[in-house]
Amino acid sequence: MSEHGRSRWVFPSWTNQLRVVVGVALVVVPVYLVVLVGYGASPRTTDVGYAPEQPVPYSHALHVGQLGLDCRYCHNTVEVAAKAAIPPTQTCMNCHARVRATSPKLISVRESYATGMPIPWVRVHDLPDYVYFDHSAHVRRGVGCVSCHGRVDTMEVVRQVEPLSMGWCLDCHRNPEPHLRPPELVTSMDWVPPEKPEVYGRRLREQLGVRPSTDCWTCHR
Amino acid sequence: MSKAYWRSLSELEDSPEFREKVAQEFPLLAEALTDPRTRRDFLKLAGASLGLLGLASCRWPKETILPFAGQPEGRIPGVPQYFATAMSLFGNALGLLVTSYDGRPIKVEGNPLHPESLGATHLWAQAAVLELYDPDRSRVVVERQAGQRVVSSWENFRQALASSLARPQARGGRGLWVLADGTPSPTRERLRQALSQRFPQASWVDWDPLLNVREAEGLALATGVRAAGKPRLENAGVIASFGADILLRHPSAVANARGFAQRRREGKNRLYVAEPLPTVTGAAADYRLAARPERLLPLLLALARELASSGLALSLPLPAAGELAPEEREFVSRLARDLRQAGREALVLAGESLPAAAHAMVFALNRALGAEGHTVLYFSAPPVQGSLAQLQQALEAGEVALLLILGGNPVVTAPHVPWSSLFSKAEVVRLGLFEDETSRLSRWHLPQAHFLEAWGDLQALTGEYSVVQPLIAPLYEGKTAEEVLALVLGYDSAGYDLVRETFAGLTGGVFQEELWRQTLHDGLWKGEGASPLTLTAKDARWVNELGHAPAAEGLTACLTCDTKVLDGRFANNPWLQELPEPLTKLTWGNAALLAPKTASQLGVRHGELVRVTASGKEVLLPCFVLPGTAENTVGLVAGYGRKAAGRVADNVGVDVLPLFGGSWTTSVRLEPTGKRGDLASTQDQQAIDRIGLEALGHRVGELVREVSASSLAAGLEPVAKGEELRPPMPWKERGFTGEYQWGMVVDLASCIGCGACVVACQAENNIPVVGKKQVQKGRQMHWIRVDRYFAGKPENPKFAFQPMLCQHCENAPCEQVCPVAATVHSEEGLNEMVYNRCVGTRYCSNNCPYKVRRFNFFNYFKDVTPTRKMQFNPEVTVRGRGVMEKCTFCIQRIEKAKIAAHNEHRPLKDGDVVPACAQVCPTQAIVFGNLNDSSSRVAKLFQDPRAYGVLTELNTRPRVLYLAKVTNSEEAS
Repeated sequence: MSEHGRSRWVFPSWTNQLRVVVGVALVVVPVYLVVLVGYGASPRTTDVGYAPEQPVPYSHALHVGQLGLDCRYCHNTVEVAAKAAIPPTQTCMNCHARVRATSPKLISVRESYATGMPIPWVRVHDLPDYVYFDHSAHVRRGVGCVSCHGRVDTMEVVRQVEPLSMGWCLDCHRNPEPHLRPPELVTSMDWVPPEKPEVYGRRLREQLGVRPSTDCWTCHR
Repeated sequence: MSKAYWRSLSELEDSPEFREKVAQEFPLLAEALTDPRTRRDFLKLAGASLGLLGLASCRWPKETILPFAGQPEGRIPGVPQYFATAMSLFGNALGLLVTSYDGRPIKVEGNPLHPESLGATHLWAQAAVLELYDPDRSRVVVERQAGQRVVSSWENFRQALASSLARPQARGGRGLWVLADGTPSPTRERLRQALSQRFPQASWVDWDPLLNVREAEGLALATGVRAAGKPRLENAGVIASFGADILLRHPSAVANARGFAQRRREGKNRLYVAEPLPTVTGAAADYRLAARPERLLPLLLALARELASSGLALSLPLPAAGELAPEEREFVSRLARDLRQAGREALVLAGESLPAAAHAMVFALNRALGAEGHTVLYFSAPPVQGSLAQLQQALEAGEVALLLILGGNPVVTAPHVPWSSLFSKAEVVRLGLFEDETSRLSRWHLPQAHFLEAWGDLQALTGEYSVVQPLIAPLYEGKTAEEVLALVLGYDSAGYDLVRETFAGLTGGVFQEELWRQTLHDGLWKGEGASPLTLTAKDARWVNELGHAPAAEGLTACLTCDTKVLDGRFANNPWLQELPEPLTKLTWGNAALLAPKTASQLGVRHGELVRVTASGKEVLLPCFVLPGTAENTVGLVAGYGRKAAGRVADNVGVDVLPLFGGSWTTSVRLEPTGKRGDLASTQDQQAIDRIGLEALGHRVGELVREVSASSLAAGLEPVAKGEELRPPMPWKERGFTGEYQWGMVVDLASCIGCGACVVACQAENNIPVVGKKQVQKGRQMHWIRVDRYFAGKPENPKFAFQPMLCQHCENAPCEQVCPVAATVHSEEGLNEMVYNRCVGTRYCSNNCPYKVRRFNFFNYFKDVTPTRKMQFNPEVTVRGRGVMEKCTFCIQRIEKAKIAAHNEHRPLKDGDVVPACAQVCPTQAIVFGNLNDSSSRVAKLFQDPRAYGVLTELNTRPRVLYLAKVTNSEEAS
């Protein structure tokens, strides 16, 4: 075999530098991956605990916890529409035209009612725009408000308690049973299943025909 | 049974260009890197994306929710509402049902209750919603003085109107002229009558190039009544069309297409078409004669003579038809025999380019055959007043003080009138959607309100009254034609009040709120219903006019209005510009259409720039060699070459109208220039590649298959043989566990290739428009395309259309090559595309045998205007740059229907899910549904003997099956 032919099978000298590159990569890549995954899944990224200040200091703890208002009094579209609508100012004024009619905390509500301009509520639970979540599909099948939104009845200021990440959604779509309850009790904040959640949930699941899909186009399209 | 179908002449010849196009799915990719401008853009974008890395550490943006202060009744945020309205085109009304999403109209559908719609629409109704949001629409009142454009106001106009009305007013209205666009609106008619009472000397001219005025004149000749025929193709067994495009460019095209397809599916009609240029009607014909435009009249006369000699009681003194060519003689004698046999199921139709006497002849034939009342009904024609010639005379004589132009665009559509010199002799006020060519010559331009944002009304030819209901408050300061008329009359009423007043008048004088609300809800009020006219034939002096057919010598140019932008009124609509024309598959422009033989005689090559000269005028435009064009005929398409239409249409294509001087045909000279023209035709792009299959040596099937009507009647053998649809799988089959298994059937017997599905899909799924340059590179984004195939000889080919969309293969080739699992299969049998996973390798598209995947080469919505954004369907992601996309079977509609049904704890019914393409289809060629439900229409059609799959030999197991085309010619049986 000729000299030329043999050299084809010998690594060229520049590959010596690869040792350095590979060595650095071996150290850096695992660190990078750990940081990336840790950052991506951290509550800071998923916004758990996010509790922005609202233009009106509305207290769910007072209205739901103490006065016992049902969620659907204000979020009345939750059973028929994808969006659990933020109520129009008119809904506030149903009571506040008489109750605390002069409270300084309600100035912007009265202003909105008088001028017809909306109150700029700050969105707390913000899904990405490529997620097409439907409230009615969940509420009608017995997924309680509390499963995703937490104990709103104890919150002075609403905050996000769950990560609302895709993995978190899929946990429930793959195993919905522990999260099911009779559909008429979805708004109850302190409901506990009468028996083991898995057993009770399995029965409900059959009754209600709950077959959550994990296909991509269920939520993304 | 099968024919060899080909797509273009270059494929038939198997030219190197075609081979290259098939090999390169996305041609000219390397060009992007060598084009300096594109490269700079790329570097800029790369720099910007680096900059974004720095922002990634910031928090999510704060989002606010703005609820109503007081919510309108019945309105739920994010839940679409539907409102009935109507659209006017070709002098007829089309009932619509428009989807409003949070107060924005986003999608147009047909109104199933309306007799002209029956739930479907034409492509122009689909595109209307984009016209509403067109950023080029005029927004303000403009006054032009001595060439200066001054932004004015309605108040200024009102004052100016008062002073310019003063002179006509003093003279009983003499000098006041109105040029209206022929919209069949009862309110407009009422105001017109009020105007003629107030100003008895005022003159009114209706002019719309799309109105079939000659038919009304013809019927007036024959019977003394201006009437219009309403074909009932659902009753017609033998149809003869002489240059009438009844399936697309016709006042009742949607209903016609439905009726035609109904019978065609059962093989129970036969269509004869004689026409100079191929149309979709000609493409659907069983016998098609490519006849020069001058030959249509002699052919019609020869038919009448043949029928009379066979004993049909015509009792007309028919002049001689002259000499017929052998193929003409055969066409006529076969047609005459079939028409006689069909009796009252026969129907003869003539196109708008034929003279009035021809329409009178058609009436006489239909009556003698017994067709009147069965396959055609006559109603009084929409009122058309005056003529352009009268207006021109008056303008020349200086008798016009004030000319009010309501809609239309006469400067472009009637270039034979020297408008620019005439307009200087009068004060011209022009109401228009755009500040276009006509407005630029007028003293005043007034912004017109779009029909989706203003009140109005329309009357269908068959008498149904529809209220045009606005979906949104006027975006700009627009007013309707009726409101402007009211201004002239001094009423100053809003459109709403004007329409209600008309309604009160129509319904017995007193306004009935209940009836009004019902009319708004249903979209129409039948009233007593216009009963068909009973016409009596008058003397037959018109027959003599038939004998004076001009001799067919030399090269004749034949004018036709475009099948997309029509006379240019929709030119600024990018959806329509980018829609491939049904026959030529041309986008973004027009061409001179030539028969292959004529082209070679003239020494012109396909795509070459040619010079067409007629009576001292010349135009330069590319030549398109289109099989099926009549010999020695140049087809010239109107509607292009606009100069002041807007940013989309300006200088797209060539304006050919000046050659014609107001007539439909003219004698021309055509010479090649040797230069290459700029055509953007999609006909060889995204071609399904059969070359590779031939090499495999086992081509099981053909792409387009057909069966004859006689074999259908005799009980058809299944078109798909044996295991063809489901060849044995070499490995374990995947089972699908979903409750629903979606499937679609496309009936090639019904499909007429109009392209409404393409526009509907574009509107529903936020599909971008890419522009001419990108189309030339094969980068158009339509999720559904309509493949057009020719078969037979190039001189007189047969045509076939095949809508091609993602086949949702159970064994999908695209899924097997995606390195990031961005396209996967769902349990319901859908081939899902996940945009967020896609990294843009385009392997899937390479491996897709159907060529239905589309890649976003750019962020096509980067510079989208705020008004344009309002049209987006919020249920569908707006895709960014660098991702693949394709048909989703309208997953948003599937999910919506599923959630709605499950919320009511009921199973999904057949017909609950209708994709946009199936909903719009005038012929109901597309059927979608659940294959698991054996009673569903789609499951039954999957078992139809006509059902077959495309490229099933690749074991793709498509979820889209096609039903073989049905032909009804004697040769086929």
